[in-house]
Amino acid sequence: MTLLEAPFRSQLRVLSLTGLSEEARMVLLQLGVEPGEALEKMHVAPLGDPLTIRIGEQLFTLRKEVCGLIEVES
Amino acid sequence: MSQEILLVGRPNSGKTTLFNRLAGTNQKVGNYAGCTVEKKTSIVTSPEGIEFELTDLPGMYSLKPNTMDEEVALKHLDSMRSTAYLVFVVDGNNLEQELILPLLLHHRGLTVAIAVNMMDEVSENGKSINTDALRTRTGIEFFPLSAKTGDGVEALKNHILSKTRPKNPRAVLAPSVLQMPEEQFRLAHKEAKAESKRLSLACVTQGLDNRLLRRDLRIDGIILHRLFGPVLFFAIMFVVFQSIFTWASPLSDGILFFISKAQEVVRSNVGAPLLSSLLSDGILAGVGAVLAFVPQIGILFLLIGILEYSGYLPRVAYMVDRVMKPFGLDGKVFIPLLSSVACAVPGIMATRTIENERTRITTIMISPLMTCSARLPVYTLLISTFVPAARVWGLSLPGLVMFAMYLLGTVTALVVALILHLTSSNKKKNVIDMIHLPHYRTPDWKLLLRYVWGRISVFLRKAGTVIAGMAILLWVLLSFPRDEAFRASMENNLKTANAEQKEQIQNQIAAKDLENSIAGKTGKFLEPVFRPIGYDWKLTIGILSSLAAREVFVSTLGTVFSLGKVEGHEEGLSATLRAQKTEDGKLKYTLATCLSLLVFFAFSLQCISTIGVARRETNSWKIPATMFVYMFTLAYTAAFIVYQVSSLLLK
Repeated sequence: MTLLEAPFRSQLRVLSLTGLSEEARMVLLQLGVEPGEALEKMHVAPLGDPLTIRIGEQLFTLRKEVCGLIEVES
Repeated sequence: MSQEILLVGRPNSGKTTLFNRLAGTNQKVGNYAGCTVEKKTSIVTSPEGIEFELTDLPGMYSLKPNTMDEEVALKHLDSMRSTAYLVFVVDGNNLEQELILPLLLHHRGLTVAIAVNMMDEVSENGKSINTDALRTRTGIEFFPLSAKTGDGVEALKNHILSKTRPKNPRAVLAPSVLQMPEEQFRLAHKEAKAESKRLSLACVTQGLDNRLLRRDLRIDGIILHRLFGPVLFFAIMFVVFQSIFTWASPLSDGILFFISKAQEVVRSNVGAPLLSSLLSDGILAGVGAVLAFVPQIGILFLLIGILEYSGYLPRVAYMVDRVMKPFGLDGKVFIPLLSSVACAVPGIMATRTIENERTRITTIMISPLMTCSARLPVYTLLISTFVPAARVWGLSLPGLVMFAMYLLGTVTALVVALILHLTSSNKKKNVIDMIHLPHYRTPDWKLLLRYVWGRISVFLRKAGTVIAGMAILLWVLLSFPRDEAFRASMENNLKTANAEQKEQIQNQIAAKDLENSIAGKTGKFLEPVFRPIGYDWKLTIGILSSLAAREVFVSTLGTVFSLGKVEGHEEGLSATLRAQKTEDGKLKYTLATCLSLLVFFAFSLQCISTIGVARRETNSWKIPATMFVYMFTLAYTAAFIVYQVSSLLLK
């Protein structure tokens, strides 16, 4: 499933980032989003986009279109 | 040449707070060449009297740039001198992620010192970091500190200013890291990441409960709540808007009161009329034009400072991101645009909080289209003079027109943003739009006041000089040359006149002076240009003089129609405007003229202060010149269509 479809507030593991461009993957890599790494989907903005993601102890927001391209497993 | 010390770190690592601690009040604010990214430097002197140049580099997450700020920081690292020394600032709360970048550079042979910031929060969180162990394992100097409280900053300062600290063995970073091929970079990153993981496992004692993150999530649950979140958002935005729209004006009025007192003193004490006029109407008025903005800027940045330090500002951006997305903007644009509804000058200054260069420029370009408070006196005069006080669907027509003007400004601003978005090459767009949500914190008043003062002093020194200069130049154009023969004959009449006649004569002199001035002659010369949109030379002079500030249009019309001061009793001016006839006896100014003027003022950049501040914020005349031209073109075209169409329809 993609990060967009994944349930809130549960531990997820990144499987792949294949739909994203090379540059986008490099940016995410340096935030700590890469295959094998853990993350958690925390909540969604009042208007439905973007989403908050917890990586380690930090909270980041990512827009839906990016979340839709991140494959995860629980 | 003094040695360079560079502060490097992620955005939100507390780098700038640490910079302020190390630099004290001795700071220089400029821009990096060719872009709007702000450059902060300071000269710090060691006890031995050696000078060091301390630079606060823009925040960066990585060596593969996502934003203009990162690109600028990397370029600076790329070209730094061999004597330069890097101090990495990392957030101790998130050491495992934050150590990757400094370790990567260290592996490439670049000596770094690491300031582990936010130690106060680390211990509050029940964690501890063994910096001695980190030092022994890596050979890097580690300094645990809190830039917020100041603990540990002295030790770092002593280290970077000492003669014994290591120098960089490598002259330049490139091409070893910056131009590293993708695969090699991945490997280097992996290696650094693995070491960072090992180090944090060995040297960081985890707290039991992750108190801070859990507290953040609890607060987020309320503040970002589907219903309560937007309610709180509107309440806070209302306060922000009110503060610059309403609360700042008594302070501005106070400043202008002192300026007017000073003008009176000059007028009554300086004998030579020309010098007295230059001092009071030229220089003092120019200085007043600048100082009048200080309360707005001070209050707005105090509020932005509180919102930013407390962690709410990034969450505002998060909540409104969805609204701004269709226009190619992001959530950070909201506060600058909202501020511009009061005044584009603080609005444009507030674009500092937007990290993306392209978005920042777009916001600067569109913010003068928002209906600022300086347009209100003009709109009020025009609407009350020409729009019939009728009712439409039970609503007052003048009120509806005023509302339509606000709507027109906002919609046009967003449409222009969309056009800029669709036509720009995507080169400088962020690869990923993301916002870091920092911990909630209580703002520190000292840091806050220093931040506010920083913004005010930059405005006064960098933008204020340009604005005052332009104001004085405009005054010269509006006052010279004078028809001395006419003045002499009128002053003769003054001697025999009674009080009422005196005022009339003085008003006539003022009108004649304005008509004969360079600006007055230019207005007459330009009349053919403005005739197609319905203006005669008198209105054209009004348009020219309103470059100083839009509301000056009203007082200039007062002068040009020999009415003297009209502020506070505009009814006389309204009646005069309505009564003007053309040579063949028809009404000179009609509803069509009014609509044309409304549209013209909505779109054109009639404000030297905005031009001055846009120059300062973008570090070149290119953006303000572009703004002036595109807004004038838009204003003229729209006014032409409105005037021609409404003249036909209203016949």
